Amino acid sequence: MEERLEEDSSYIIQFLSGEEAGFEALVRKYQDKVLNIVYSFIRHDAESEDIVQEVFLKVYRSLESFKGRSAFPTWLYRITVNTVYDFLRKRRGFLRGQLTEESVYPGSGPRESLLEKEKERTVSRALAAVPFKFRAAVVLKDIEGLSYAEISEVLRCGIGTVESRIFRARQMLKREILKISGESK
Amino acid sequence: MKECSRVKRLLSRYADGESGDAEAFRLRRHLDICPSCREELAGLVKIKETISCGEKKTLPADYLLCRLRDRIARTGGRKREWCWSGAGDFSLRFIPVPVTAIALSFLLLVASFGRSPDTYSLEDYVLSGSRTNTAAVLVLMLGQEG
Repeated sequence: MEERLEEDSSYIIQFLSGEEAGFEALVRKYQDKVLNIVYSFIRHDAESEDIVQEVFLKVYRSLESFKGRSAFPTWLYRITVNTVYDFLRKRRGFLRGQLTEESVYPGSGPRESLLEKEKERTVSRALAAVPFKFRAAVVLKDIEGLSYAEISEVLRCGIGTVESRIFRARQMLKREILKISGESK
Repeated sequence: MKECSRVKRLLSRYADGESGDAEAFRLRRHLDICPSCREELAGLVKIKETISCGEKKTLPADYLLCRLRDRIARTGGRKREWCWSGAGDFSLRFIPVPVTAIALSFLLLVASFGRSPDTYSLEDYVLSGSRTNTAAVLVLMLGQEG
């Protein structure tokens, strides 16, 4: 963990001293992590890529103001969650619209079993039904594997709040999954 | 039963490995004897796995960097974007509130300086310690020049 943060710091220093290579190293290191967080909210390949690009543009333009009070990944994930929040706020109903279309999983190949597709679809629909602040907490926990303390820094709330949001998100997910399973029978 | 409802609230934290040693020990002891809470925990673990085992996305090497280089070239280099500790647009929405408050305070301050002290009330006169007599008070009450 410490090594990882030291590595980030060296990339940031490199970038601030005028070398773009430092920023490029950060992009290479974190692009897939950011993509997976964004995708778990958006569930659309092209839109997710656009949002990831937006996130890294914000990083590029505000890295000078990064004070290092929190770890770089925490700061990056905060930008990611806020960018996704703004996207969804501007395009209300985007997710529900996406999930009713047949092209939700354009990347799914013929090898992928029908069961897996159905499972993905169920998770997507269930997640879409969970309000943003609860979804953000559970996504950061279950997709990115952050600790409660790290999530509380990203979302700027207390650890108790994180715990309660994750608990409630899982209760909602369970209810939604049961509902969706009931519908499909 | 009361114990179960208390335990069920702690199971999510336990499933995430965030319980302290003492709490984890107590929970394990309860789980050993309670099938209902065991079932609840299994359900939580299942949901956790379902979410975390979803399809992992990856971007082709340098695909994003190419897009970023292109975008940065089009929109200008290291033009600094105002960002409140990475809060993005979320915090920008709150800027008008302090800005309006500061502007209003400034206007009030200017207005209070601009007011000329041409009115001299009866109270001010009496409190100033000047000698008072009926004539002076009457003059002030009627607003006439002394």
